[in-house]
Amino acid sequence: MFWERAEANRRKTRWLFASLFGLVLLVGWAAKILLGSWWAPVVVGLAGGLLSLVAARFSEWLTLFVLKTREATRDEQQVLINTVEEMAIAAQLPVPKCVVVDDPAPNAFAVGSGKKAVIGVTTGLLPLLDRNELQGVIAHEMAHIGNEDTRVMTTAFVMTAAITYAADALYAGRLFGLSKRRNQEEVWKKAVAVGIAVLAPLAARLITMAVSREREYLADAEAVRLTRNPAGLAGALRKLAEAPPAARTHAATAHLFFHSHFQDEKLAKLFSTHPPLAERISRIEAM
Amino acid sequence: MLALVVILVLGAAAVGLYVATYNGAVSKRNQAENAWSQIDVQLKRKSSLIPNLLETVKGFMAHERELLVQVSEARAALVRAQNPREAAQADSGLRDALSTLFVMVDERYPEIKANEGFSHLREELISTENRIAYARQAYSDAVTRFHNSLDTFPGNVIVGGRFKRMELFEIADTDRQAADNLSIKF
Repeated sequence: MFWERAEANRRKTRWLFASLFGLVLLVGWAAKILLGSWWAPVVVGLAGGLLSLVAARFSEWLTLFVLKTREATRDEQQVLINTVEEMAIAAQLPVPKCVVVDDPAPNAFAVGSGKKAVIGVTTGLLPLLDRNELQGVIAHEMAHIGNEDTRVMTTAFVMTAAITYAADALYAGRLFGLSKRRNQEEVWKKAVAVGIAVLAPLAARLITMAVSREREYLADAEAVRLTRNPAGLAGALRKLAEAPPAARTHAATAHLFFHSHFQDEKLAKLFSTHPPLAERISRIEAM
Repeated sequence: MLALVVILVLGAAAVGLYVATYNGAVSKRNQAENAWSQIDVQLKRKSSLIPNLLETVKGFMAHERELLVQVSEARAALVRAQNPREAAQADSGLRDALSTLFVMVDERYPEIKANEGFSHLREELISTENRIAYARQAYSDAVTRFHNSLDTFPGNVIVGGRFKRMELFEIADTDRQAADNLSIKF
């Protein structure tokens, strides 16, 4: 059932965040071994994290601008506005602003939370889905808003950025000879520290993507709780699986959308923001 | 001295627990009341849509006077309803009458079906029907959460008896089926 599903997903997200934090500690340890001091990578990591936090905050607004959204009107998008208002009642949330992107590829997205939340759909989505399917998609986006997923993912991306910057600072520190006690540590410790510096950014990225996929499953489960109708969401996903890939939903904004096409090959799955559609459909139908 | 500190700390913890439990129960009750008022808002919205609908179809459906009167009377009953139970009953009567009307339009009056004003009103009525269903769902979820907070520890010991329970109105299965049929035929 959807309650257990949602709880299991939340638990998994907490574990993933704990491992991201563990990675930060590991990089700190590597800095101590390689440079003999904590401060360089910590300072660079903090600065990098702060920079990307600003960028991520800005990006909510930037997304709406880059995608050239326009506000939906009751005359043109009556059903869309109605379904959004219905789901706001079901989720007991304030009604989000509703926008449209002129793009023939069917997709949807949600940014922000609470009173500042925005739900957007492409013009390609509306004629493709029937009312129940659209309801499922909107419920999924409403769940992202209720779960504050924009904030969750921003945090994950900022932690990844901080780890990456810190690891870069480690290389730079070695190259420019910041280290004064380089011969005092044992060789095996140094080897492990180098390994950490090399692998930590990669691991952080993999974890962030795993968090993103977990939040997608969670939003699917919540959507079923809100609509009490798994068939609608499953039907929408099935139609999207057959639709042509999006033109303007490129990798930079992929994590915001309802589904993503950047996931065809096996290795690519690990780096994808979204789980495969087939897996999502079978999990929804099991609920 | 140590004993005094222990007593003070325990006392503060007890007060804190009481306040947290009490406030938690109050906020859950408010959520349920909020959901309840949403049902009311949507029922009003529904009854305010009916006169427009009748105005739109009346010219075409002069022969269906009886049915139109039936819809209009069901609406009047909904407006008159004094308590939740009466409102639920009147609402279900109105839903049946509307369902008959829409089936009839689909089968016999293609000129109404093609009318833009009519299809706009029909979508608004579908949406209102959904809103009522979702508001009821949110209400019963909220009441269940409220009651759970009163029935489980520490709520049952601390504040259990101090709150009035709320009415969980069950929608009869036949009612639910009627709603399902409606959403298909609308």
